[in-house]
Amino acid sequence: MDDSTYSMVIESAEKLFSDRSGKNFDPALWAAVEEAGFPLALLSEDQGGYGMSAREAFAPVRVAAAHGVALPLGETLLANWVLGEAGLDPIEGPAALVWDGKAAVPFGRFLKTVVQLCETDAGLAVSVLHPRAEDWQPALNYAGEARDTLTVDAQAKPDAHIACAPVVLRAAMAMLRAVQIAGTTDAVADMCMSYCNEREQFGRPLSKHQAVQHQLAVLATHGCAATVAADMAVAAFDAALDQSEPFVLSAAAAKVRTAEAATAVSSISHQVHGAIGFSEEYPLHRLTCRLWSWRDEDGSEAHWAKHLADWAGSLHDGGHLWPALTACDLREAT
Amino acid sequence: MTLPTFPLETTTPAQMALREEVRAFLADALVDLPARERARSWVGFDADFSAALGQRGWLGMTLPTAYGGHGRNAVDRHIVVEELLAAGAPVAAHWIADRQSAPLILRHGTEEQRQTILPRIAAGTCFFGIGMSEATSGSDLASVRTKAEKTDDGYVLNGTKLWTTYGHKAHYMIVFCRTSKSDNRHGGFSQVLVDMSLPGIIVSPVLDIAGEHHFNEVTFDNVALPPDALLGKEGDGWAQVISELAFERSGPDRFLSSYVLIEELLRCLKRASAGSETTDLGRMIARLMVLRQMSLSVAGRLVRGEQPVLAAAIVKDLGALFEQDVPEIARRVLSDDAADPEYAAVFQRILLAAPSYSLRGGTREILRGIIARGLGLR
Repeated sequence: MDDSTYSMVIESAEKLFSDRSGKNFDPALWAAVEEAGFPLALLSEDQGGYGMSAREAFAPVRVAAAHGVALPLGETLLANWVLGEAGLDPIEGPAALVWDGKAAVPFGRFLKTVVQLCETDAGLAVSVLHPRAEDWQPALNYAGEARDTLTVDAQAKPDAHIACAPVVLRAAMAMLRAVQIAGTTDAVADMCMSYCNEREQFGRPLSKHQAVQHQLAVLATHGCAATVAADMAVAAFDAALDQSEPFVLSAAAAKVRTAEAATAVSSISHQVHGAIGFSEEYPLHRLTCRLWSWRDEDGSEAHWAKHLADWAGSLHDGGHLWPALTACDLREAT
Repeated sequence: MTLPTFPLETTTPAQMALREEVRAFLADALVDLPARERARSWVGFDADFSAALGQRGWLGMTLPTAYGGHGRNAVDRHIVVEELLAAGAPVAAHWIADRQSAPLILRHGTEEQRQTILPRIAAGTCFFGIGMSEATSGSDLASVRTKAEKTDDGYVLNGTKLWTTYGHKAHYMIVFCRTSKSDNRHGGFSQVLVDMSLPGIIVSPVLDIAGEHHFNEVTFDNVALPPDALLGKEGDGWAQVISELAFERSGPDRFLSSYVLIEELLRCLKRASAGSETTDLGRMIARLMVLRQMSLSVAGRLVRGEQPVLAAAIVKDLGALFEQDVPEIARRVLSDDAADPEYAAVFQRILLAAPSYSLRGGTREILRGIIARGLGLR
């Protein structure tokens, strides 16, 4: 694997997002993100993009999450990807995919464009909308990020159709949350390690107490599992349209596993931080409140676990799960 | 960044073909083996089966061809081992030899030791026992009392090892023992290669909680060892045994021990409603999918010559929790009337084996200590 593009993307994302934590959409930061080209990364050069792999394209999303940055970056990446697949031009400004119906849309009131998806007999209908501020019913998630509901009806005549099962796009949105959770658990781990190395009780740092060490070890196992889960789904995204089953299963597993990790990591991180971690002034809650929101957004563990269980129950290859699991393994590009 | 990385592995066409080849062989070789026997996982012993695997080139895979091996890499081996365990193949006979004794002998053995032993391991005809634990030395391995005293003709070995899996069938044991006094807690140890046919070795069975015999107590009563019984360097035993444990901790045996129960559960579910417990089932599958990729990633790092001690400890800790949760999840998912006698037999076997998953190869507490050290906390 050539890592040079990946490292370059990570480096520029780190520069952009360090110390830009917040809960409100930041227009100046968004302008810088567009300048860097991140929202177009998945599109080919012909489509006006950069032809990056999903691993490279979603890397900034992960870095943004680790720094507690509030931006619909992943949402815009996916919206542009859908537009590209539908043969439509990419858009400027923050955007998101919106399912026809009443779903909470990340940063809805700040979006310039929404790409509305509607299941029809002719396939998945794609409409490009430009809602007004009054078209949104405002709400916030646990972390105080805007999660607004669009109150306008589906467009009568869609702009295009794409040949893609709806579950593939739902899985892509779940994958996005998995990536954000993975980035955040990493950052929480860092915060816990530094805090426990500095804070002293009973005459020594917390990190020298065996009970605390074992808690941090458990936190690390979940953090690593979350990263692998998200990486696995992102790697499968490159073939999401051609081999949609392995992608959807990987994304489902990623959402379930990262959500479990989010639960364990937030719980342990607050426990080892004690009272200070529960205060408004200390930055831990900016990360843990997002973990609690994201584990439920775009399908909770229960939702995606049911998808996996139904799939396992539907296998008729002598009742064997194993060959179906190994069929999801990533393959070397030929 | 505090946490270790787990780069994803991609499968090559040759590796996919290897997986298919092993799977086809097992479908045929194990056709008559009932699920309750497959549920023994790597405690099922069948010397003929091991020899058949050796003939196919699926043992000693990572050993150089000069020693009867096959020059394959750790990911190839991981694939074969995964297929063996998922199918519930009886791999116990060659298990220890293939997993840890062979790489240990390759790394530390003399040319003669390699030439004599490695080709037989690769052929699936030479079996090993682990000589680490004693009655008073479990997690605290540095407290072992077994002693090899130097004589004019080699060494005299005295002491008693415990929990020696298939010691009663082993041709050799690699015994971790004291060879000299040392002020350093980890000093003065060596590993010796003990031919189990030597006089003075008494192997007595120790039954497990299911009443099964795989463990043994092995007593060495003034066993005269030749000078070339020393494996590696005298006094380097501690470093060597730690590297042996690293081989023991890095494979798919650390999350697939109860896999046969998962297949049995799905078989019975097909004849019953999953009811409201589908979440449990789906979460179990998600954990398994992620564990597989984590374990493959560790194998990939071994291929690149790294020593992923921290990553392997993380996979083993998560893997043991997973293996132990499987019977508990199965209890919640399957209604009583959906279980048939074969399922019940598999369930019992795995339920009774489960406590060992977080003991063998390093307890959960030891692993978490290793993880904490890897994170820079100790």
